[in-house]
Amino acid sequence: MKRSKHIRLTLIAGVSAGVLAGCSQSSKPPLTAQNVYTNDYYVPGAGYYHAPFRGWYAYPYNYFDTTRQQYFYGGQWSHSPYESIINVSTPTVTAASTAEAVRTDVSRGGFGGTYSSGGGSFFS
Amino acid sequence: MRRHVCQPRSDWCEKVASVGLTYHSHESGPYWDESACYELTAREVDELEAAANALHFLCIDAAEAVIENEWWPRLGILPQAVPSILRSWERDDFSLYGRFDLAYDGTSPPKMLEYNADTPTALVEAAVAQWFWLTETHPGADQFNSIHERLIRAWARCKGRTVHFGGIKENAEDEMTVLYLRDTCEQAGVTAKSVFMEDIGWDARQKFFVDLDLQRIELCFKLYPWEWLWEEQFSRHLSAEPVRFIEPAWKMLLSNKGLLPILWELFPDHPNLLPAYDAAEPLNGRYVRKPKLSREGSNVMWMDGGVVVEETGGDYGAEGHVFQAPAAMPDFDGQHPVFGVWVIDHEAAGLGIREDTRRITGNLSRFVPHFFPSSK
Repeated sequence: MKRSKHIRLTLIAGVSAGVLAGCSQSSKPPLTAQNVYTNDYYVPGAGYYHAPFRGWYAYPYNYFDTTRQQYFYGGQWSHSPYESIINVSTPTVTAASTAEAVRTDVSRGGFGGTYSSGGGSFFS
Repeated sequence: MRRHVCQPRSDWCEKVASVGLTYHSHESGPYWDESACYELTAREVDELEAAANALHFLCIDAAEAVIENEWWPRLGILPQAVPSILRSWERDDFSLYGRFDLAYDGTSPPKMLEYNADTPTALVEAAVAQWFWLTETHPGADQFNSIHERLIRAWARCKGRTVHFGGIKENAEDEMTVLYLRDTCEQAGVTAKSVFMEDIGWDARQKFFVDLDLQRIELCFKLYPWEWLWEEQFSRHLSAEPVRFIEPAWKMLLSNKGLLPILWELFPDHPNLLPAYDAAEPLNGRYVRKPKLSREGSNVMWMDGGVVVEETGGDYGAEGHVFQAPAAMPDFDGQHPVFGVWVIDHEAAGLGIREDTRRITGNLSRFVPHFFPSSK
């Protein structure tokens, strides 16, 4: 005999019960120098994005510290807020890779792109 | 070997779907086709089994030659993948399965067309759907099919660990294949969880992959080609090997059609091999040109007398091609069967037959069940 003696399936009958992985959580794509980010785009562990300075910093853009009586932007404190029409930009390569390295959240979407971009629809 | 014309069961759609073959039909007709079946002899089954066992170890020998000679460019393998391949080879990382596609007419020895050693599909139909078909339509007959038990036995090697199962979203065949494999894994007493490839997360602080519950992924079955993984964003984390994948990285050597000319160089005139080369010239205008990494028969070109007699489209080929002598394909009323012999844990374990009016098996080729007379 080469055939199976008994085949029992437990999961397949329960597909509708949600055995497959959930899709409820939003994904956090990797930070890259190809993406654009707006002022104060927050990344845990990396901080707040400052669009005119193309990087992440510890405080929000033009954050006002009441003790210091100063504003924060681009890594420095100043008595006046920074004025710029730039509220969205791409980070520098260094800023993106540094932020990606230090972020304490979880990034997702780094696998599966070849398939979704049409790399193929069936396996062998 | 005989091909029988059969009367399909009146409720075959519901029956095969109920055991996981939800993708039994495609737009142009049935994929699961029980309007025919193949009857083999016990000798023919033994011959297919022996061929797959022999070929599996020939492929491993050929992979070793690739490593020793550093023939990475011949297989189109990216340099960044090489260290992981070498480490997984040295560790002899666990390999679950693969499927040889063989040309066989019942007379000449089976000939290897290719080895789907990384992401083989057509598993649910071979392991489950045709077994239930057999028990209902040919209850006294035998079938080359112990895939189910062998999968469970193989998974037992992972006891004490959690295996994640990753496939892609919104593809019925892949979802059911992954689910079926998870089913067999759990039946082996192994803890299993599912995570779609797109949902795998990278925890930058702890430097490991996590699922949607933020549980670390340490051992992951992936129905996703290695060559795609290495091209994607998270590939930069792979070199540190924060996760062990099943199939392991060393299977990149076996699932690559660049191995076909190497096999022929190492084992010329082996009865289960077809002549194959890195160039077309030795085959004198009569050959099948295959991309090294293509799947489901994509971008295959059949040349005869210097003329293209059959060709398929697709997105593969940039990685280079190999050239293989055409196999003598049996013809049953215009149908050409290809014999997919499953290898589980390094040993032949079952058979699935797909047939087509074309000579190039593609993703529309139909799965046709088989049986052979029981020796009891």
